[in-house]
Amino acid sequence: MQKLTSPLDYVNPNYENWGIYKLDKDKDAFLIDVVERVIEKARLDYPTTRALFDELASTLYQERIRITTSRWKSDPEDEKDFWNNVKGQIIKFQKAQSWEESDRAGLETLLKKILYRYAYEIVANFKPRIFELAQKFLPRIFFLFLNSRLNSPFKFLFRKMSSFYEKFIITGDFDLIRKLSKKGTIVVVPTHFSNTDSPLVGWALNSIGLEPVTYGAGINLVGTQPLSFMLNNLGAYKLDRRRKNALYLELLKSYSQMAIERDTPSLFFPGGTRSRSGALESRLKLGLLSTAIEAQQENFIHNRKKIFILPLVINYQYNIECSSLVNQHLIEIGKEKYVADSFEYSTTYKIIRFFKHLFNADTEIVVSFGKPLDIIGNEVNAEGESLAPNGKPFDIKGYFEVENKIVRDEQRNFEYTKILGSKIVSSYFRNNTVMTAPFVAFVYFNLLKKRHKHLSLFEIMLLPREDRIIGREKMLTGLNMVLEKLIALEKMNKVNLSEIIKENSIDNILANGLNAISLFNSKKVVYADSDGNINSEDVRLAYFYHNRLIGYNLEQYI
Amino acid sequence: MSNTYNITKPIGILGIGSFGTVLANLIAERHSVIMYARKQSTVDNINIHKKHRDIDILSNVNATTDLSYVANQCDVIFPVLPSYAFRSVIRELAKVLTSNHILIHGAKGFDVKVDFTKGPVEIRPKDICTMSEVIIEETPVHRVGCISGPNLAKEIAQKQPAGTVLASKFKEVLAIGTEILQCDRFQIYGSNDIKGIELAGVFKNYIAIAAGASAALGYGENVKALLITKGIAEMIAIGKTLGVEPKSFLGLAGIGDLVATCSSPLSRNYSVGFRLGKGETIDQIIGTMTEAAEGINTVKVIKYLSDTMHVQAPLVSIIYKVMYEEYSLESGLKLLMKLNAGQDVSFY
Repeated sequence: MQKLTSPLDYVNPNYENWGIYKLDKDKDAFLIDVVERVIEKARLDYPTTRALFDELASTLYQERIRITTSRWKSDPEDEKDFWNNVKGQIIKFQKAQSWEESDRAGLETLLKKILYRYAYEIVANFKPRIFELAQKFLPRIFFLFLNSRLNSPFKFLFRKMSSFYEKFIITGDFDLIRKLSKKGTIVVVPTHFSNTDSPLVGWALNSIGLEPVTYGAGINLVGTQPLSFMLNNLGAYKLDRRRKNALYLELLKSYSQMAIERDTPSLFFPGGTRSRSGALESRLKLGLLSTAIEAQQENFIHNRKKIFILPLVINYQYNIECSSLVNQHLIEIGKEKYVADSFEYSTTYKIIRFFKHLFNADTEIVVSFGKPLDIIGNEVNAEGESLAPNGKPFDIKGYFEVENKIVRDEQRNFEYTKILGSKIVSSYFRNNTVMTAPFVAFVYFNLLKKRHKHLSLFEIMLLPREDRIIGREKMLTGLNMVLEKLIALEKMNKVNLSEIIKENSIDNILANGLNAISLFNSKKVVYADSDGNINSEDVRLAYFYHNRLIGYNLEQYI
Repeated sequence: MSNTYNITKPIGILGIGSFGTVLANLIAERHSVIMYARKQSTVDNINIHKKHRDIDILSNVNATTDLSYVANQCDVIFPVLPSYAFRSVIRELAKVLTSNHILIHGAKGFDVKVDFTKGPVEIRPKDICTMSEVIIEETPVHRVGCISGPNLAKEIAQKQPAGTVLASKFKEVLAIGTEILQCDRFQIYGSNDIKGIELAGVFKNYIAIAAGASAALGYGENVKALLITKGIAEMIAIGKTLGVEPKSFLGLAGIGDLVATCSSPLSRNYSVGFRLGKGETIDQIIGTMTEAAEGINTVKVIKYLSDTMHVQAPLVSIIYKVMYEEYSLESGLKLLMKLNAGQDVSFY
C-alpha cells in the first residue's frame, strides 16, 4: 500500500488524448449514437406502434406533472412550449387511432425529438482551461478546510502544497492503478457521504496522475450553485432526479454506457445518493453500475478496451451535512416514531461557531483506493489480466459467451452486476479507515445502548442529558476493547486504522476524537464534561458517526 | 428477450457414481458426453466394455482420466460428486477452467469449514457452504446451477419417467441446462433459488434415514407421513437460519425428493436408516457402503448447527442420539411422540 507524498505526473500528459476531452470535441456525433441506441432499444421494448404511443403518452403525462408540481430555477425557459408541442402531436396520433406498422415512423420522429432534448440537457462539457483553473484553486480550498495551525485563513495561499498531503492522505497501489489506466478504461466507484465528495475524488485522481473523469451530478446542483460554472465545464453530466420516466432513464443509462465504451474514464457513486445513516454503503444501486458491464460486453464484441473498476473509500473526521442526513435517515426508518428537529444552523451564533471551529483544530481526510477489479469483481494484475481465486490469470471474455460466441443477455449481466456490487462492498469495508471521531462515537453510542438496553433507538435519542452520561473509565475500557479487535482486523487486512489511532495512547485517541467530532457541528456531538465523563448534546449525531463502524461485529466487544 | 441455445460441444460429467453414470446416459441420448474418472480401469470399462456399475453405457459416452481434456472439450460440465470430495476435485478442476464454463452440479451435501468429525462443535451459517458456493469460491466460474429432485438412479437407468429441479440465478444456465437435460422421460422444472434447492436436497437425507429406521422397526405409513410432514417443517426452520425462503422446500426438490427417498429402499440414506433399525451400528454400515450416503454427515452438521443457532430440530436430535450416542431407536421414537407437538403448520 503506497501513501502519496506529492502529486504524481500525468500518465497521459496531453489533454487532447483524454477521453473526456475527446468526448466533448465529438459531442454531437456521440449524442447521435446515444439516441440511435435508445431508439434501437425502444424497438425491442415497444415492438408495436401502440406500445410506443403508450410510452410516449406516459412520458408526456409525467413531464407535465413535473412542470406543474416541481419547477426548478435550472429548468429551461422553453420547457412548457416544448411539452405543449409534444402534447399537440400526441393528440393528433390519438385522434387518428391508427396503429399500423407504417404509422410508427411518425412516432419515432417524436421519440427522437424528446430524446435529443434530454441528451443535450444531460451532456457533459469539458473545457481544459477551466480544468487548469480548478486544478490550481481546488486544492487550496480543501487545504483551507483542513488546515490546522494557521491563525489566518489567508495564509493558506502561501503555504507549500507538499504539506497538503499530510492532511489529505491518499493511499492505494498507485503504480498498478496508473498502469491499468493505460491498458483500459477506469470506472471509479467511491463511497458517498458528502456533497464535497465529487471534487475531492477529482482531486485525488488528479493527484495520482489520472486524467479527469466524467460523472453524473444533480442538475439542480449544476444549475444553481456558485460552483455551477465550474462543474458544468469539468465533465459532469446532468441527472434530473425528478424524472423517472423509462425513456429518460434509458437515455441516461445509454449515455453513461457509451461514454465508457468510448474510453472515457467515469465515476459513479454506487450507493446512489449520500449515505443518510452515515454507514458504509452495503446495498448498492445497481442500475448505473450495470452500464459498466454492458459496456464491457459491447467492448468485447467490438474488440475495444477492458474496463477496470476502482473502488474508493473517503473518510472524513466530520461531515458538515450530518444533521440533515441523519434527520432524513431517521424519518425514513422511524416514520411516526421520529419527529424531525428543526434545522441545525438556524441562528447566527451557531454559524459563527461553525466558522470559528473551522480554522482552529486538527483534522484530516483519508482517501483510500482499493484494489482495481475487473467488471465481475476479480482482482487484476499489472498486465490488466483478471485473476481467478487461485491467482491464475484468465480471460473474462468468456463470461459473455456461449460456445465461444458472445450472447447479449441483460439478465445474466444483471447477475454479474450483483456480484460486482458485493465485491465493491467488501472492498469498502476492507479499505475503510477508522478515524478517531467515528471510533469514539461508536463506543459511546454502544455503551449508551447497553446501559439503556430496554429502550428503542428513538427513545435513546430522547434521553435527558443526565441519562446520557458514560463514565470516563467505562469509556476508556470500551475504547480499549474495540481497539484490540480493530488491530486484529487490520492485521487480517479487513480494515485500516488512521495514523492517529495507531500512534497514540487511548487517552489521546479519545481527546482527538472528541475534538474532531464536534468541529463542524453547532452542538457537541460527544464531549467530556467538567468531571471528565462522556456525554452528548445530540445523540442523533453520535448515532450517525457511530454508524460508520457498523458491519464489523464490534458491538459484541463492548 | 430470451435466447435459444444450440449446444454442439460435448457435455462433461465429473463423477462415476450411479447418478453420474445415469446422467451421462440420459444426456448422451442427444449430446456427446465425456466422463472423468480417476482410475484407468474405470475409463477402460466405459470406453471399451461400455459398462459401468452394471449399467450399459451409450456409445457417445467416453471417459478420460485427464481433467484438462474435459475442460478443454466441454463448456458445460456436471460435477456429480460426493460432498466430501467436492472441494478438492473442484480445486483441481479450477486450474483448467475458464470464464466460458458453466457448471451444473448434482451433489447433495455441505462443505463445512470447521472439523465436525471428532465430536460436537459450534457450527454457524458462515461455516457452511453449499456446493455452488464452493464452485464460486474456488474457480473463475460464475454461471453455476444445480439439479436436485427425486432422481433415484436405478429408476432413471430403467428409463422410467422422472422430473428434476434445475436451479440457477442465471436464466441462461436454466435455458442451456434444460436444452441439455430435457427429454420425453425427464422433465425439467426451473428455479432461481439455487441455495434453497441445494439445501432441500441436503436436508431431506437425514429424514430419509429416519424413515428407513422406522420401516425397519415395522412401522407403517402413518409414521412415515408424520416423519415427512414434520421433517419438512424442520427443514424449513433450519433453512431460515441459512437465509432461504420456505418455498423451495415445498416443491419437487423438497417434498418431492423427501417422498421418494423416504419410501424407497433404493435410496442410500433410507438404507442407512433401515440397517440402523435392524441393529447395525453406524460404523458397521459405513464400513460396507460402496457409495457415500450424504445423510450421515448431514445429521452431524445440522445437529451442531441447530444447537449453535438455537433452532428447534427434534428429528435431527433424535437421529443423532441414535447414530452417535447409543440411544435405541425405540427410545428415540418414544421421545418423538412425547415432544410438545404445538401447532401443525407454523413455518409461515
